[in-house]
This record gives sequence, C-alpha cells and structure tokens, in this order.
Amino acid sequence: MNIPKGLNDLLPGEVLKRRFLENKISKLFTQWGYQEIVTPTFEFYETLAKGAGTTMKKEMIKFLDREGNIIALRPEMTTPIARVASTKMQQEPKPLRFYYIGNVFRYNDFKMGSQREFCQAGIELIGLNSEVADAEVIALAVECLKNCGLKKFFIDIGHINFFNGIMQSIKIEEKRKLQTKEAILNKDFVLLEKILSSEDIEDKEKEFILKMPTLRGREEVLEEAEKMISNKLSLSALKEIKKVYTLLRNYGLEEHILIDLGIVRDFDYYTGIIFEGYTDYLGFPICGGGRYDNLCSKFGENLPSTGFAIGLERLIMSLEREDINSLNLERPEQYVLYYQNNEDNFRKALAVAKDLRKKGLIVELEVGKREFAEVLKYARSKGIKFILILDDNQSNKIKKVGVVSGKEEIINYE
Amino acid sequence: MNRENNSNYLVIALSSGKLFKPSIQLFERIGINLRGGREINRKLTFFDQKEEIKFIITRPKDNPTYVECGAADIGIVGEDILLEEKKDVYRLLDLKFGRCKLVVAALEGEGREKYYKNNGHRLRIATKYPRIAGGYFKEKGIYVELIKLYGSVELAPQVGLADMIVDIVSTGRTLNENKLKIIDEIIPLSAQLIVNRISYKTKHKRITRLLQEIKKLLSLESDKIAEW
Repeated sequence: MNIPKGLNDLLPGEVLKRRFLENKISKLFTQWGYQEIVTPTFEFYETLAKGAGTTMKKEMIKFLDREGNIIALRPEMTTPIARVASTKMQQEPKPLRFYYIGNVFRYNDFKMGSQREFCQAGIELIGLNSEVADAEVIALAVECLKNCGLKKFFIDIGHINFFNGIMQSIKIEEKRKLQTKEAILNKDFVLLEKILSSEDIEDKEKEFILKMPTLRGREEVLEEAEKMISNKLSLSALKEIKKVYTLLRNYGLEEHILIDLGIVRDFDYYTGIIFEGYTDYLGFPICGGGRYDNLCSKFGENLPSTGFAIGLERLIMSLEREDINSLNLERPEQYVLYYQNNEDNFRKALAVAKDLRKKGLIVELEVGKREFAEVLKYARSKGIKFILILDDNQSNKIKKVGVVSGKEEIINYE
Repeated sequence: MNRENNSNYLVIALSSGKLFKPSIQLFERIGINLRGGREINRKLTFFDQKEEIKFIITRPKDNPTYVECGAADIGIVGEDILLEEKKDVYRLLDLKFGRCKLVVAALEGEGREKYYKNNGHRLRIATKYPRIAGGYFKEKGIYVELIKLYGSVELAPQVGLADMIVDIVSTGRTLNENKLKIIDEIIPLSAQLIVNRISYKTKHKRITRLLQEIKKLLSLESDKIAEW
C-alpha cells in the first residue's frame, strides 16, 4: 500500500531521535519562560492566507469541508499563534511567550530537505517591539541548536527594510523596479545586471545592489554598507541590526552570529530584523525567523512580535552529518519476561511485570507461548539484552539470562 | 551525498552532453587541472587536488537539482533547463558558450499569421519545455494545448501529434531535415553558471575568485567563446 507523495512513516528508530530532540528543545524553551501552545492542524484557508505570500498560498494543501468552506492544512505555525494571541489572549499581560512543536504541511517539490509534511519547533515572543526582544529570540535559536549538540553553525542577521530602502531609493520607473525586485528575489543576477545596465543608475548604486547578497561578516559589514547607502530606511535598518548585534554580544554568542545584508525571506509578514541559520552540512537553511509587527493586527489586536522555527528533519540531518554518532541514542535496557505457560504462572508473571515496570524497567511479557529457544532468538534479533525466567517451583526467585553472553543469574524477588 | 567530506572542497557540477566539452575547456583555460575529465570513462567524479575542487558530472536536467540542495556548490547548466525548472539557486554568470535559441517551428508552408490563426480550435504545441512555452503563448494571447515530449520533438508535426513545436535550435539542420521552419524566436540561450544559495555565503571568497577569473577569460575571448 502506498501513502501520498511527500509523506513519511517514521519508524521507531527515527521516532526515538525525534523525541529525544523534542524533549531537549521543549525543556530549553520552558526554561526561558515560553509556554507550549497547540493549535488545530487545519483551519480556514482565509485565516492562514493572512500570513502567506503568493508562493505559500500556492503551496498550501486545501480542501472543502461539508459546508463548502475552504480549509487548509497549516503551512507554518506563526499565523495560527498570532490569531490566538490577538483573539483569545487579549486580556493576558504582555509579553506572551509561546513555543510549539508540530507538523506543518506544504506542497513541496520532491527535493532534499523538503517533504510535504515536516516538523517545526519554534517560539513566538508577542507584544514587544524592541531590539531586546529580537536579541532574545535570536539568542534562544542559537542556544537551541547548541543544546541539541550542533557545533558548526551560523545565524545570519539581516533586516527586511535594508532591501526595501534600497528599492525605494533607486530612481527608475515603477515597472522596472518591480522587475529588479523580482530578479533579486529569484537570485537571478544575470537578469539583474541586464536590467540595471539598461537603466540610468549611478555605477556606485549598481555595484552595491549586485554586491548585496555577499555582504556578510561581523560589524565591519555595517560600516561598509553605511558608506555606500544614503536612504533613511536602510540606514535605520543598519542601526537596528547593530543594536541587536551588540545585545547578542552580551549573551556571549557572537561566535555563532553573523551580519548578513543579503537575506531575503520567503514570507510576506516580516517587518524588521530577519534571520536564518546555516550549517556546513546543508545547502538550505536549518532555521529562520524574524520580526512581524503587522500580522496580529490582521486578527484584531496590534501586537508587535518576533519568533523563529527550526526544521527538525533538517536539524537531524545536520547533527548526523556533523557526527554520525551524535544521535546514536543508548537504547534503554529492556527485558522479556518468560514463564511456563499456565494460569498460575501467568498471574504471577503479571504481578512481577507490574512491579518491575514500577521500578522503571522496560518489560515485555512473553505472550506467544513460544519455546525458550525461540524467545531467545527473538530477543537477540531485537537487541533485547536480558530474558527473565519465572522459576516454576520457587515463587520468589527469578532467573536473569543474558541474551548475548548466556550468563545466568538468580535474582531474589519479594 | 555527503557534504561533510566536501566541506573543504568546492564541488562543481558539470552537465554531460553538449555543454560538457566547452565546460572542461573553460576550467582548463583558467588553470584548473581536469585530466580526469578528459578520459572517457564511466567515472562521474574527478578532482583537482591542488585547488581542492571536485567535479561531478550530472545529467543536464538534474544539474540544478544538485546545486539547489547543496550537493554541488556550483553548476554549469543550459539556460533552457534553468528557465524550465525554476530552482532556488543564484544565477551569477552568462558563460556565453553553448549558444542556441528557443523557437516556435512548424511544417514549411504559409506565413506566421496563418500559423497563429486557430480557426476556432486551440493550437497543439509539442515541447520539452511546457513552462516556457506556456508562458510565451499566454503572453501573446494565443490559446494552446501543450504536449510534453522528452525528445525528437521534430517528429510531432509530421505525424499529426501537434501543429507546431517549441524547441531549441543551434544550427537549424535538424529543423531543415524535418521540413520545419522557424516561425518565432522566443529567447536566445547559452550556458549559465549557478551557485547554491548557502555556498554563495559560506564559500564566498573562493567562488568570487573563480568567478572573476572566468569573467576575465570571457571578456578576453568574447568572440571565440561562442564557437566553443
């Protein structure tokens, strides 16, 4: 039997890794004061579309409900959370700190790192418009990746208005401007050069636009950019980046932070600082986020906000490429409880199993009525380390047999 | 794919087929050792150890896929494929070689006005490039039905599968031999250099240096390169 394209069954080994990271992440988010929130898997398309650009609208998986409403599976978590914050949490004191771990859905092409159902873990810091909030969110993104065991990675910080300011300030006709913008968003620098060379723009400006995607580094990037632009919007964007960068120094995280003026993110809702995380192991970002000050107001309350999401599949891929053993999780010790099959023994076995489980052991009760040799074979192939045998005659003795070693040990059992 | 082993190497994906030879020539001319690539064998990877460059050979259509996901940092790819596949990669340089053009062609006969008159039915267009062809006819306001083929597109009008074709032409010989003539030129095409969006940041210095050397060569030999 097939399942729809782009979906996956997670087998136990994969789930183990996923849950291990989820536990680490949710623990960290909780320690920073973020509370978990769960929103529906699907919602009215109209609601989700409020936070989606053209591409995302196309990528949403939609269907009709019985009343004929268009429903969509959530393509990301920020919009649903913005909806909750500005409708159901209006009376709560601000800021709100939420975290989530959940699956999102998009009609992605079949390419590496993009499935149609994938898991995101992230946070939203709602109701604050300050660089301190931006810095907290970025710092937590860094901490989160570090905490999961990733060593080589960078979070690149940019600002949406840096690009917007440049686009506003270049003096070309509106149609040309749109083409220029599209070429930049499509990363098509051959076309961009063609458009710009046919326009009457200062060489300095041309050169700068073509150079934009590579303006990446530490503070010197800001200085370099400052010298080359004069529009107010871009300059104030640079100021904000500088403030956030300085704040992040206080966190002691600068080794993982770079300033990157070439970031353009695919979401329409961003209004300020934006950021993306990169590793050496992936040709696509591992996480991303930014400030979205106008999204909540679309649901009724004006709440400046910021947040980020990490792709869990991408995180797992990065961790395993950095160190193949990084998610080789120690399997918890597991036992099979074997007994001679009769009703008396069965009752006794149930009591023993109950007791051992209470002590924290993982106990599988033999229910197949198999011969001991068969159970041994089963345990060996499943990687179970011990078989416990209930002694028929002695009610308070259990024999513990090592599956690999064959070593036997008698345990007194009360 | 193992990016970890690649992290010191710059990985360049070459397209097999028509662009392969000129691509090799390009890199040799800027001083990169490609001895491995000259040998005709089944190996799909070879190295320049001194420059720490690894070359991989891909099917032309797969080339941007390798670059998009980061299995390769740089790709040399036909513009037709790039326009048709729409991948999320940087297009940084027009390499000027491998020139050809994308055209609309039909069986020899009457003029263009006649061809585009659909007399109340939609025109059927056979092509390997439904995205580009669809966009072109939509802009012109001509109602067409696209038939996706994977090769030998010239056959389609002769056997009544389509009224016209949209395909790439370099010398025009294949069209002639199949009694087809060009009705419209959609766009000129050539080899393009693309770069993975993360590599362009993380391996920026090396990529820029390479680009500058290629640019220098292109401007020095601008008249010869078209012949490669």
